[in-house]
Amino acid sequence: MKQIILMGCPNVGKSVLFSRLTGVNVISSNYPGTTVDLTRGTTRIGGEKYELIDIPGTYSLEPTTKAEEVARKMLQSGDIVISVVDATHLERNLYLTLELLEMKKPTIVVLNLWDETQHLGIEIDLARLERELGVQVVPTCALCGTGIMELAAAINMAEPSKTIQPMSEEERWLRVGKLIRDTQQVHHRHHTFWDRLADITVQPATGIPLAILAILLVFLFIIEIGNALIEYVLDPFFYGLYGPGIIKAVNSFAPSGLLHNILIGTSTVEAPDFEQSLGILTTGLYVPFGMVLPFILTFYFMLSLLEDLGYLPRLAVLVDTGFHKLGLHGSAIVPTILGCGCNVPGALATRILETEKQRFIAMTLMAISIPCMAQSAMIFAILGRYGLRWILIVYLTLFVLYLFIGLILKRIVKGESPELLLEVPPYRKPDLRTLLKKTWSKAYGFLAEAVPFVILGILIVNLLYVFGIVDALSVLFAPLLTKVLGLPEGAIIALILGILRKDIAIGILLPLGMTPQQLTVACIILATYFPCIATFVVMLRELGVKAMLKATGLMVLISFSVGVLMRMILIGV
Amino acid sequence: MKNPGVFHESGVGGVPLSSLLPGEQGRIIAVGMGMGGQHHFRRMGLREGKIVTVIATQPARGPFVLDVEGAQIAIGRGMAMHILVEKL
Repeated sequence: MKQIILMGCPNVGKSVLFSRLTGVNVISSNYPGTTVDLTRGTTRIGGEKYELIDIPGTYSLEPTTKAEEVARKMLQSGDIVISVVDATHLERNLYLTLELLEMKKPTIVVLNLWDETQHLGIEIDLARLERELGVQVVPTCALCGTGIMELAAAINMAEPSKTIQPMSEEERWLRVGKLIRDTQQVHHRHHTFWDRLADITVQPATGIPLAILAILLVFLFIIEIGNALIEYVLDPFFYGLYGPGIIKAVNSFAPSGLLHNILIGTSTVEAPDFEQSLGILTTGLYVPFGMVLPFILTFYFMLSLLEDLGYLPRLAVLVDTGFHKLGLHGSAIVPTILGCGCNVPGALATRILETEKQRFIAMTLMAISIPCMAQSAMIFAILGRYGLRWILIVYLTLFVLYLFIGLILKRIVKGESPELLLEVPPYRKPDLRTLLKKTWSKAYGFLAEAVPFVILGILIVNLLYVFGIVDALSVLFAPLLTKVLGLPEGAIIALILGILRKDIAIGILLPLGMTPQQLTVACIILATYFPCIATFVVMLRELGVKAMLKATGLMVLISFSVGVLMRMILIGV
Repeated sequence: MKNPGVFHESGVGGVPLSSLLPGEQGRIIAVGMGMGGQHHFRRMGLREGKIVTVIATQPARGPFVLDVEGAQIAIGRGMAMHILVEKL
């Protein structure tokens, strides 16, 4: 099967084009570097099957970040190259196109965002450009689908450029300049609403208050809509419909015994219990679907909205100074926000940071003090019933830890912390269908991973109880848990399960009958002591064994110290 | 390159981009070789002869937001010191 490589600068709509060509659900974003992992898909064109590979956006083939290294490696193995160009910024895109044409692979140049050139008063002489580049040039609008058929038809006829020969960097820039003079004309245009919005959101006097307002609104939306989904949709479903049905069904063939306990735990028809029964079909499904999913949906909807609008790079500019104090720069806001959803994509997104030092700091800070949405949803559910105060204590502690550890790591980690250099793309009107599609694909990804792991976790808990292992472990760890941390000895089971998944680990704290003070300490320890297994594997791959050992040591040390400190503050000695 | 310093000797009468105030414009005379690298600046459109407008500067020695031919670029203040412009 022939490979088609999709290459282009960040933010040219490559991922949308990819999904147009393959029909696969993929994510496209208005932020340089969100597509850090390669996306692969297959497509059939004129009876022939091709593999399509979407490469992370890059400005040139000279690798300066990890994402660009990946791009270069992938390019060498491809058969046909599609060079995706932002038609509204032809000049800054053509440098990469020339570099690609110099590789002498069969290439097609795609001028994406073609529809926008008209609004912007840009006129491009396509025939002339085609002649100068010596390959086919296809104008497209990936979002609306224009030009996709023409592109598909062109792929079979792709040829290496006859006019572009390898040249030096200096010559390449001269060539770009000449191409622009020969093929592009720009007319005057008026300032739009989006231009004015772009301006007031980066001016500090207006931008900083607007950023605070935006973040507050986003949080409010995530929490309020998430709670409404639980109250009006999910709880009525679980308690009214699903619960009685499933309990009757299980009772009909396993009225008691081990199987009964594993499937529905302590739930009865009169009192269906989804939170504490620890059955696979009760707690095992209620935690991911009934407690976490609503917030996953609202979180990813808002994140997609901010991404597609193009707000994140502006936020990066506004928070840059603060992040410098932690050895990072403004771009670190992106992995941090992604980490609030799930630490796995968060850790991958640290690739947009330039140096090992920045990546180490960003990932370590995230693993310690950025709880993922699954964890947050459970913290809210469990501590919320005792009042907002306890939730605030957990998040304030995590925030202070973030700053404190960042300030220290900046000084002790060797390496460089370069400054921010980032393209700020224009605002674009988000498309509701794309937003819903993205939200769904994230929610699906969450369910596909969470449900099996939560069920596995509950199975393990049940078996550990049945075989008396919990008791044995409780006795073993009792001195540490009760004397040092002030928690019941049964909490050891949560610490063990937390390695698998944090949401279910917090969930099994409930049946232990802890005080709000104890729950708060336990939530802080669970958030900080170790990343879940999925995050651990990704961090290990990204950081390497040595750096990961350091990070892990730091997590255990910090978690334990903070646990003891919070115990002394909240519970007393 | 003989001079890996802040900017090239060729910049007669030029000032570092970092000295421009919001709203001011300059034509790039030279791009420095220091941190960040000349290549990266050029690829992002910051090249000799280009006209840049400072759109905003962030407080506490924060980054600059520039307009270069319709595209906006955020750049750290230290990096902006490595770009020499002729004030317009």
